[in-house]
Amino acid sequence: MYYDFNLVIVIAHVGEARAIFDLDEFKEITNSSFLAFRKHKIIIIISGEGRFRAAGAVSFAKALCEHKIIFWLNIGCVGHRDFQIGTVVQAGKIHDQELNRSWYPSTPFKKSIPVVEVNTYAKPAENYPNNVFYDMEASGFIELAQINSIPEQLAVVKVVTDNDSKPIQHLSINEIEMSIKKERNVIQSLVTDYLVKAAVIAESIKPISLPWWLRTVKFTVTQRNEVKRLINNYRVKFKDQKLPFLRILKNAPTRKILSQIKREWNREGN
Amino acid sequence: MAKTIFIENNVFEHFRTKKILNIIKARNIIRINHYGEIFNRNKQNFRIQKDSLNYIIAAKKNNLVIPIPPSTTSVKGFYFSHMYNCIYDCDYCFLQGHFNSAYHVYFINYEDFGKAISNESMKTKTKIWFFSGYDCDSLASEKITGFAEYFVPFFSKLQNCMLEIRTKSSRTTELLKIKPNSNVVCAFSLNPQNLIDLFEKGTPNLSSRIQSIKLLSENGWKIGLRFDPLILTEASKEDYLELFELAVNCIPKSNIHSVSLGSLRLSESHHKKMVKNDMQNRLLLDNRYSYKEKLWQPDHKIRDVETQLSEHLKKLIPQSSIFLSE
Repeated sequence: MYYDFNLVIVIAHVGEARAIFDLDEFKEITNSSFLAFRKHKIIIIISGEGRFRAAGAVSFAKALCEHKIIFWLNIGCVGHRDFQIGTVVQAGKIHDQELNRSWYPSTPFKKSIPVVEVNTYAKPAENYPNNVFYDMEASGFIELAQINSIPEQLAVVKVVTDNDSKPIQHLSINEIEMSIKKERNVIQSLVTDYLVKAAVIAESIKPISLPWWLRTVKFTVTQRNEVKRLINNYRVKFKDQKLPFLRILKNAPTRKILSQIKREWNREGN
Repeated sequence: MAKTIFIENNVFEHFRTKKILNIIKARNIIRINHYGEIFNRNKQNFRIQKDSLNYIIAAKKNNLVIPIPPSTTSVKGFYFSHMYNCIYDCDYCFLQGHFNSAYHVYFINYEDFGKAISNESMKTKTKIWFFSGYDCDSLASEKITGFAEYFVPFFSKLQNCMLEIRTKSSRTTELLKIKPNSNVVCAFSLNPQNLIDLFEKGTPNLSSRIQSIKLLSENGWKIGLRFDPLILTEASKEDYLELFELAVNCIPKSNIHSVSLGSLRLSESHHKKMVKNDMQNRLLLDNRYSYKEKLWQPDHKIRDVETQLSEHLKKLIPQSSIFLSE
């Protein structure tokens, strides 16, 4: 059984979310500052447009997660001068034009999904002078999501909805949603792939927890870390064996408990 | 997973970049300002990245050659790294605790390394050693890097400089195309086959390494034998004695430049970081090793056997230089 985690999907518009997911299958989270939906470990949060809203949505979503390990996915639309409308891409670099800062999320999706540089702008792009992808949320999303996350917990998937021949100013919101809807199956399969990879990663970075009979002992931080180290050593050495239960005296000093654990678990090993 | 190559802007058009791209055939290229933006980030997990590798092509600007601390070797020398990280995945490799990232970094400004090496060589008339396999395996990625192709001829021009190419690779195709040079030693890391199976994932087996040693020796290359690290918790003294016989007798003794033995030892900080990154690594949790003087090192029983092994080697090849790393 894998260690449990949350997957938070940040999307700018509810229409875009509807184009990809069947939101009826999700439960709406009420009394929340952002429109949000939940289905098991997956939370979809509708951020609104722009990097500040995306960052706000990430901050807010952290409070909605019940697990310590969170995987983050930003899905949205991008523009590019040449790329065909409907192309699905994954971001290997996100650059914020205003802050002049860059971030590098993971690129966990299959080879056929191109890895690209996404530049986040404060306003919709009027033209596409550079050979990069133009968006408005990715930098806000990643700046906040990367806190307490390794790069493999962050991913950004975008659908090209506008290009030189069909610039964003000439598109209605319905047309944008339609472009995304056409790629619904592709994006859903990417989300499924991401969940599978996330489960493996979560298992390898899961924290060590103390057994119930040690949880009430008031160890210092150093002692607690030492106990966790001993637990891990025991598990690695004796793969099939359960952590042996020790009878702990109620008012025994923590130092003595720690020595008892070291002594007893070493004896088990001999 | 889609593999990505991050390329520094200043080497984007470099001929070696084009050569590497030609070999790796990556479709996903991202331009960056400095390799450290990716490689030195905090909160990266070396183990997870090892399973999903990306590549970085960059130019090294500072600390091109670094003096070796006098305590670690008996010869005066420097090390230099044309590459960070390695294609192999050895359980004991200190790089897991040394770097934040497992991505492969290729430094392609060989001419700058060459200048730095020449500068050091001009400062003294005594013999100086340059070691290339500290942060990577020198030969394993030769097809991509062209490291030996550039540096072996380069060292032939330097009178007082020696280059040690340290490797576990059995790849000889490129070396055999180059004229051997008396200033260059090909040093092979060797361990008994059962240890290779247990702890040296992805490396060539012992017999192919021995074959490569033979082949290079026959073609005039100086050979170094490196029994490092000795892992006497999983292999017996007899395993090593057998290995010594095999390695020493596979080529004429006159072709053996030097032999060294080294304990399995890690700095305390590296060991702690490695355990944190890979909590399932049995080797790093062995209780016959402990922290002493900021080093994670074996107990005196293992050290005694290592000394016995060193004595045995001296009898086997008395004329060769034998070093036992402290």
